[in-house]
Amino acid sequence: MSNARSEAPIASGGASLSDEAAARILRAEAARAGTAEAVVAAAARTAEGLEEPPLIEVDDVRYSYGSKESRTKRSVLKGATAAFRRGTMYAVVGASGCGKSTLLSLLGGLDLPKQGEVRFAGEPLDAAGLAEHRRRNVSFVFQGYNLIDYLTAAENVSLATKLPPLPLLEKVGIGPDEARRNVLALSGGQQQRVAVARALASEAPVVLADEPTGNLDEVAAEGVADILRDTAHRMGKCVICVTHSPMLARKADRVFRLAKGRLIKA
Amino acid sequence: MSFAKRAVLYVARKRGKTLTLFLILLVIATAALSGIAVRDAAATAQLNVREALGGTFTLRQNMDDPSKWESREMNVGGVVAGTQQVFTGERITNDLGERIMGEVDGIKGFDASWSNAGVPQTLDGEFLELVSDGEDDLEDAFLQSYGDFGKTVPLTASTDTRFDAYFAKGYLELIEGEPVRHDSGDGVLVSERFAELNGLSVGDAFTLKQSSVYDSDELKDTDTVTEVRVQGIFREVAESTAGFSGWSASNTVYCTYDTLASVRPTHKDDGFDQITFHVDDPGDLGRIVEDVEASCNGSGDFTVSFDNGEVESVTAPLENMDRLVLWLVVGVLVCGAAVLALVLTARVRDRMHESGVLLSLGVPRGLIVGQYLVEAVLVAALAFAASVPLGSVAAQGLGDGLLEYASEQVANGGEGSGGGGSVRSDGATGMTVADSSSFGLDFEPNESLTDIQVLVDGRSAVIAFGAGLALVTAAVVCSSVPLLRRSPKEILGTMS
Repeated sequence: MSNARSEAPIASGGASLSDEAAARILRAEAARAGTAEAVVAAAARTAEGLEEPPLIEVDDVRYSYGSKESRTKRSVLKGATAAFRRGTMYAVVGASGCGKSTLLSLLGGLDLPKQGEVRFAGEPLDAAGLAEHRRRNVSFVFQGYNLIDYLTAAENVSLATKLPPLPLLEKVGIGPDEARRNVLALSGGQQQRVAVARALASEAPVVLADEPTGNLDEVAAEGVADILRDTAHRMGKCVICVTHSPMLARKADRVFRLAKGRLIKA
Repeated sequence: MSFAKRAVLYVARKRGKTLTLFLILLVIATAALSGIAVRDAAATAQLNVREALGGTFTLRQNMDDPSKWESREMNVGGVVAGTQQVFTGERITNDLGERIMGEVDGIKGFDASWSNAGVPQTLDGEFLELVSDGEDDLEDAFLQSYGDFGKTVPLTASTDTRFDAYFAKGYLELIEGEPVRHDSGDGVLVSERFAELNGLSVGDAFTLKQSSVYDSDELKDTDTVTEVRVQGIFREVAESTAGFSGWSASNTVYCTYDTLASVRPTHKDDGFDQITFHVDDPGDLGRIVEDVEASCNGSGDFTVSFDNGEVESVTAPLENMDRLVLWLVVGVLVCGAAVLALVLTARVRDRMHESGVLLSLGVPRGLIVGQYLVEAVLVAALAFAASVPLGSVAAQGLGDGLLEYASEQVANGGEGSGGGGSVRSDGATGMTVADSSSFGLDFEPNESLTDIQVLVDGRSAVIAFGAGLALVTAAVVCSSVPLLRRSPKEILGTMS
């Protein structure tokens, strides 16, 4: 982190460069360097040193279940605030039922907060429309893979893109033979890789992952976590994972803890 | 990936679910097609029966009105020999028949007839042989004692023998030559047996004259000798008997009004006895008769009579069958629609997870429902295609059974009604039928009912397919309501 801070003035020293352009250059340099450490460092520099504007953010968001009249009304988010930037992998941890999945659904445009605001690129989600937000800005990775069971791995990826699916699947370690198999014929780890590949295939800059390693063994889980991190660092996407997994949290660049309805940097 | 491609892949790969939907749609489509085909066949059978029964009505001279009669002096040899009653109303003529046909819709044709008797002879003046069943009774012997009266045969003047009651009902059948019409001149029809007995064939000539028993000072039988030419030969299809053996159907000669007037000149101004009109559809008989009465009976010169009971008694079983099949089809369609809706609803609920995945990928709800619709339409198209041959087989089997049942009902109804296609005694024609039940058994419509082809035609297929597509579309849209109404969060929430 200290490196990132010390290099930041170098990048921002060019007066003609905007913060965003400088961040892009840094990420490109890091990618050329080809080491995970360099990528992580570049991401950190981007996030902290250059103050890249957040891609998606929650601002004093409050959400509760049940109607106002309901005696069983339960508040899960009580003024949650956080900003999420490109090229960074975030982990949101917290106890079961604390509102992690609710936060994810608000970021994904599946619902609107009762109070507060969710913004994408500085614009409130409800301005452009939730459906449009889901279509263009976010892609999901679920704990249960959520692949379509009558399609092959390649066809599942093709649901999200018109590009050839095989290169995308190869990036997540699925070879051509597995790609042509029905997804039910793949192992849990392979299925989750396919789900991640499908999320990556989308041009959406935000990847929302809900317990992406929850159903996987340690080895498979680590593989998926690495893919998600690479997705953030190499593809410049904003990856937000809701998880109970310490391993996945360790892989993240930033970790938020959701407690008492608020997001706290861990 | 387009929604259509997803639909094709689903249909191809989810074979069990596809097969279930296919079978349900196949049953519905087959039942619908069979029902439509059987209904069409029942309608055809009804029409055949009605046509075979030959819906007719008869217009006769109204002789009962005293105001239509007047007394005239009867002059014999220049001496007044007394008075005679003369009918003064309008006579039945061919022109009258043509006028009515022109004014009233629904009449297929008519035959005006006048029956009398004459003596057939060769051109050399020798009596022609009469067909006899070899059972001459005392009455025949009595007739023989009156000179050539025993050689008389029925002469029926006809304006169109095609519409003569016996020809129209199929009891007589023209097997050679042409029918006699109003303008046939000297043409006559003779029976096959009469022609064979006397060596006559189409084109041969012979003569007709009145019996010498009618001879008077002014008119001898030799004055009435009229040369005629065989224009056609008919065959008796049904058995018949007559009061006198010489007046049997086999000896009947059909001729024109002018021929008969020449043979019996004293009656030349009497006109026809009656006109029998044949209608296109006996179901319209009541309306047609009303129109005819309004058209020509203001003068009270004619009476119009008809009997529709025979038609109604015979067609009632077919109408019952029509209703039965209609309810059957409606029942199958309603039950089928309910089952289809349940199955499709279950399918959509079962696929809520898939819908959520697609929604999360940004696929619009409309395209998700569109995929489900295309899947159902694809399966429906296959089921409908398979249902055409299957429906044809089922319809023929079902139709044969129902038509056979209806035939039995028709036969029973016909016998019970006392009509049954029998020809009633008719003194005017000189031909009577002793055993009417024999005609009832040979009743032509009974045979034609089971011969009817119960086919799934193009129109039926188009109707069934159209209704089926509407049904499938409605079922898919209705079963997709939960998907359309629930929020993405609710749908995705079901996925966890």
